[in-house]
Amino acid sequence: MNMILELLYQYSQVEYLTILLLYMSLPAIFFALSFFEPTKFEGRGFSVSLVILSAPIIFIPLQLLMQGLWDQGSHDNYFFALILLLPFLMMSVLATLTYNNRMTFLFPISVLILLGPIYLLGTAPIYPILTFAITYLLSTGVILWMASRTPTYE
Amino acid sequence: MKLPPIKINFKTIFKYLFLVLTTAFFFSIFVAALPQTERWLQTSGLDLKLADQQVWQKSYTAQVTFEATQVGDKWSLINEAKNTLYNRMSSLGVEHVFVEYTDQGETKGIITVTVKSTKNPTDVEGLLRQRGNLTIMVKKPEVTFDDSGDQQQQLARYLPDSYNESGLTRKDFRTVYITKLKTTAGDEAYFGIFKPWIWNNGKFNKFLKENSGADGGVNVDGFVTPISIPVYDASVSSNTPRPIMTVGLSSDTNAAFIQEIMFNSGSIPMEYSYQGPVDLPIEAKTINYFQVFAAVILSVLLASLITFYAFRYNLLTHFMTVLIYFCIYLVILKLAAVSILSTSLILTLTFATILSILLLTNENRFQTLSPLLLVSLILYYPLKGVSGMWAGNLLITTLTLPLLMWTVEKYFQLLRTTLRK
Repeated sequence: MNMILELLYQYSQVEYLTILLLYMSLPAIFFALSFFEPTKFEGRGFSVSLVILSAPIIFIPLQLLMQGLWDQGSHDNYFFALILLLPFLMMSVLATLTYNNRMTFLFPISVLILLGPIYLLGTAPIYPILTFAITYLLSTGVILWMASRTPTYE
Repeated sequence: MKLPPIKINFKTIFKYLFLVLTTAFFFSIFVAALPQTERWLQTSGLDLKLADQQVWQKSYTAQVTFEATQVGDKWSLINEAKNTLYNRMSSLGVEHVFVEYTDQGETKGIITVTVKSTKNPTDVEGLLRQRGNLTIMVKKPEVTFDDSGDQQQQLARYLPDSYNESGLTRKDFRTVYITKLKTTAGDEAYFGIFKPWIWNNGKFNKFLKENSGADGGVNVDGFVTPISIPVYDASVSSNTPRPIMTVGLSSDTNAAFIQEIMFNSGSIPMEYSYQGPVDLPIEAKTINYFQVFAAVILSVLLASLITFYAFRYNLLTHFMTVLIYFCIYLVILKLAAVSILSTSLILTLTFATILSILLLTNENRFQTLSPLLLVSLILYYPLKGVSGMWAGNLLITTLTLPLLMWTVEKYFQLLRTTLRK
């Protein structure tokens, strides 16, 4: 319980709040872009990017499980994994907007293949990477599901 | 006899020049990036420094004591102290830091900072040793500094007893901005410029007016660095910029950087007694770099082929862009003699590979780049340490990779047309 309280305290730190705010600001970024590319971003881009918010929602309980209950990996590693997730998630959104099919799943799968050698190195803890991988796959799924349910202007 | 005018086709010359120079650049970058290049070329300047073997782990402890008036706010003060120590470590770029507090009764406790890093342990200890309590002081009128006197008189200018408190503390200032300025001796050294919060301008101006031209001091944890309080001419119009108040620091860049962190990371609000470090064992790992290198090549090939199967992009441009980008990255690291964790290398390669695929599969590259640029710009500013470095990497990759891709595309286009002739 103390460990979980300690983690919740860490979440209230300035850097974590910056990242969470950044996740929340993504819909605004896509909204701004809809002025340049209305056919791609209007409607779908905005609502799909809202789903990026699902990433921290999936990530944080996973971290609490891994770190709080199983005591695996330091807090900084998870924080770094959450930052790492952001640009890759945006790539999933952009690929979804371009192709709008299950092919988008190839992006998280490719990223996981590319991160494979880190496991061989053994210098980076594997549990934050595992948390990153599960969150990335699940949130890409959510993005695709959201995209399939949102009308397109094309 | 008049010679016929020579017609020079500048366009063709530039094309050939571009081809030759680009080929030479690609080739030399590739050779310089290869492992073991320093052995062939007999130059240590091309030796890649991997930080994986320099990792150390220590635990630092300090006893904290609360005054009777602080006991009620104890837990918020502990959080403030933990934040300060965490900020110092992340500003230094320490990779892993964990700060915890163990209660030892109503008025006492122990703060333990566990650090796992590749940074200089002396810098880390220097930042954890101090409380960082900063106040501005003014010399007592009855005290005179006499450098020719006995040791006690010589030291007087560095002792808080020679000064009166001015009422200004670090909390009255937005930042202490560190910059290089000329000293009175003519050489250059680092100085800290005190920049007050906008709502403290009145208080700061009042202090300057009351102590214009007086001797002052910056007291950090009981050691005073003498300063000259600038002359404040009240008769000059209010539009004139206020004189700047500076404190002299070191002329060494690293020492100035440490002082900048110290001044700008907050202070520990309770009595703080540093006790020292304890070495912690670190698991020694033998890394087979050739195995990892082969795995990296294989994973890039596999990830590219999987996506190529679905999206049918230009595989040659993709491989060349990623390869040359990675080679440039390695050469810069080698030349700058910057040590890097192999994990960071793999992360950068992963990002470059995926970005290249995304750029090649998307008709509108602006659409792909702009959100990423925005995110990396926003990320770059507030983040410190390893996360800040990653955000910087992200920004540089997002800016330079499309440029490199454009060069590679042009190169192959020209090469094809030239070879067909």
